[in-house]
Amino acid sequence: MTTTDGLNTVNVKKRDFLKWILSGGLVAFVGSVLYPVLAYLKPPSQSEVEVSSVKVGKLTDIPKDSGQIVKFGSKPVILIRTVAGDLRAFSATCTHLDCTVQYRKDFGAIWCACHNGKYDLMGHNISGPPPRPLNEYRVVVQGEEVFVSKNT
Amino acid sequence: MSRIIVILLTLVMFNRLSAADDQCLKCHETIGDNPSALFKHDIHFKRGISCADCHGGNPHLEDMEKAMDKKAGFEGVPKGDDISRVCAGCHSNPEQMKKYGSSLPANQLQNLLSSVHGKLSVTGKEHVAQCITCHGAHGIVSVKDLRSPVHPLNIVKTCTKCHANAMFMRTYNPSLPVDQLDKYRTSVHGKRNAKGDSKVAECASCHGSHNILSAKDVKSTVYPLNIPSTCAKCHSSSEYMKGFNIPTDQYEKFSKSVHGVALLQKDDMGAPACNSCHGNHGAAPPGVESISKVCGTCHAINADLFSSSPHKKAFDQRNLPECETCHSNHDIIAATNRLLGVTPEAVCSKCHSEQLSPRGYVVAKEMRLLVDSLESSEGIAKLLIEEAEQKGMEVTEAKFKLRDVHQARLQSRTMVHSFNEQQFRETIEKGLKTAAIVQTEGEFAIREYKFRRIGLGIASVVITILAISLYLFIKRIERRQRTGM
Repeated sequence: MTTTDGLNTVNVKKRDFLKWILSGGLVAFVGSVLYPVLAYLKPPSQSEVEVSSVKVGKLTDIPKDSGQIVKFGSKPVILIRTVAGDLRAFSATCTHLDCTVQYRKDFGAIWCACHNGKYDLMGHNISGPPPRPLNEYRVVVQGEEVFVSKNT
Repeated sequence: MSRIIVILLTLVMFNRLSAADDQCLKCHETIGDNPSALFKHDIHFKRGISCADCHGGNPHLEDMEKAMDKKAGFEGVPKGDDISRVCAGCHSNPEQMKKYGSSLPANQLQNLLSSVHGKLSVTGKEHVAQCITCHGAHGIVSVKDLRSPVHPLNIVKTCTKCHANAMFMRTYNPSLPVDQLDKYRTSVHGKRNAKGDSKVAECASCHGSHNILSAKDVKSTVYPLNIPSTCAKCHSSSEYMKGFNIPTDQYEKFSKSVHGVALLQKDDMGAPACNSCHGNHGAAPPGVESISKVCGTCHAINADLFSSSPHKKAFDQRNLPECETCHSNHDIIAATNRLLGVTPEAVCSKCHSEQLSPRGYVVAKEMRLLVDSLESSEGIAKLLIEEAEQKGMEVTEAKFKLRDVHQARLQSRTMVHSFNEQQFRETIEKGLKTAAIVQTEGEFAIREYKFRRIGLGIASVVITILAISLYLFIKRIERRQRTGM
């Protein structure tokens, strides 16, 4: 650029500035397209979203002397309401060979159908092959709603 | 303490006191009392230990008043914990014991004090057992002597003096059973012991002698995790077991079995130890008729199904031990599909051949096919779900359902014991149906992932082309503006 008048100098500077803006924008655009594509193609390091709490329902809908399986992410949790009305929750995965346990009114205990393992209503293994107690979960009642959360 | 030192010094000074010089013994023999009569047969008397060595006083003085004067170190009859301390004066001193030609360990009192007997006390002043409680006081003989209360043939009576006394035991441990002797007399050990076999296990063989700990103590020889090695002390020694004509490889087999691995490697207290099947005080091999009942204490569903199956009658007629025939006894391996079917390693083929038992053969073959297909379907479903999960797809619901497939497969293993093809098929089909749903959900998730990826690729290309076009278009406008100038 050999021109020396003031107007042309301003135009040339303006064009250079726009060129930089456009080039930078293009690079940013390519980056913003490529990054999510690459991130999408790469498998996530965490296989599953960690669930920390689930809402079970209304307290009035849970009868006394009953048990129900609650989905806690991909794992089952058993929520027990005792004859006295206490709420307790435990992992519903049997500590023997990972079957899903259930509440048996007739036994007054938590029972595994696979090998007749039994747990008391505190989750302690009391008979059959289970080697360990069931992991305990926390039950919180907020107003009418019942929540089960991880026991930290 | 000073009294004990005086006794010890007396002991050292007069350790070879002859019976003729022992005025205590002379006098007491004249009276004709029981302790002096017993002491003449006592191992201590034979090694030159006098009455004064335990009771203090001066055994050389004929004058009773002076000999039994406290100034002469007379102690009288030791009471409570002092009894064991008097014994330990020599027995805890290896040098002293060597002088008497004894090779007994010098840590008996230390062991006793750390044992359940050394810790328990009702009065708070003295502990429940002193040395003389088991060994006696004046007629102590070697443990190898048949007259000793701690001889293997007598120790059971000695222990049960207290342990079979419900009133006495209630004072210390009300929940401890008091029928050990009754059970022991029904055991193989107890029966042989009663006939004079001193090699078989008695109380001390399993519980120890001075160092007896509560069965709940992790260091106890009868703590569940330690029982197999306690039994193996004798039962794994081919030298010791010579003459009993029973195998000595039980521990080796057990430690590799599914029960042994759970108990010994995983510290799973729910897993059976030797006593779970054989009993402890009443230890004996379970009879053919009681095997399923013994196994059924844990494996209740299997035992119930078996009892109502056609196999029950067939096994009874042939006098076959129920669970053991298929699963063995000490070396029980984890139940897998290979136990089922008609292949050479399958247990069904032991009895069911195509020619001799075609019906059983066909059922066994079919059951194996069914369980194999369920295992295969579960494997495929699991792989699909894992793949979808790795690709970032949401498959929580499918993973939850996959648990039902796993459960159906495990329940089918239990259901095998009904030997009813229909019941078995129902369990398998429940699992197969769920596995098919999970597979479909997994395949759908993977297809969805591929669709999204292709969609993203196309969208990216289109956007990129647009952006490049826009860039070129701006460039052209710039060029035109320059040309226009």
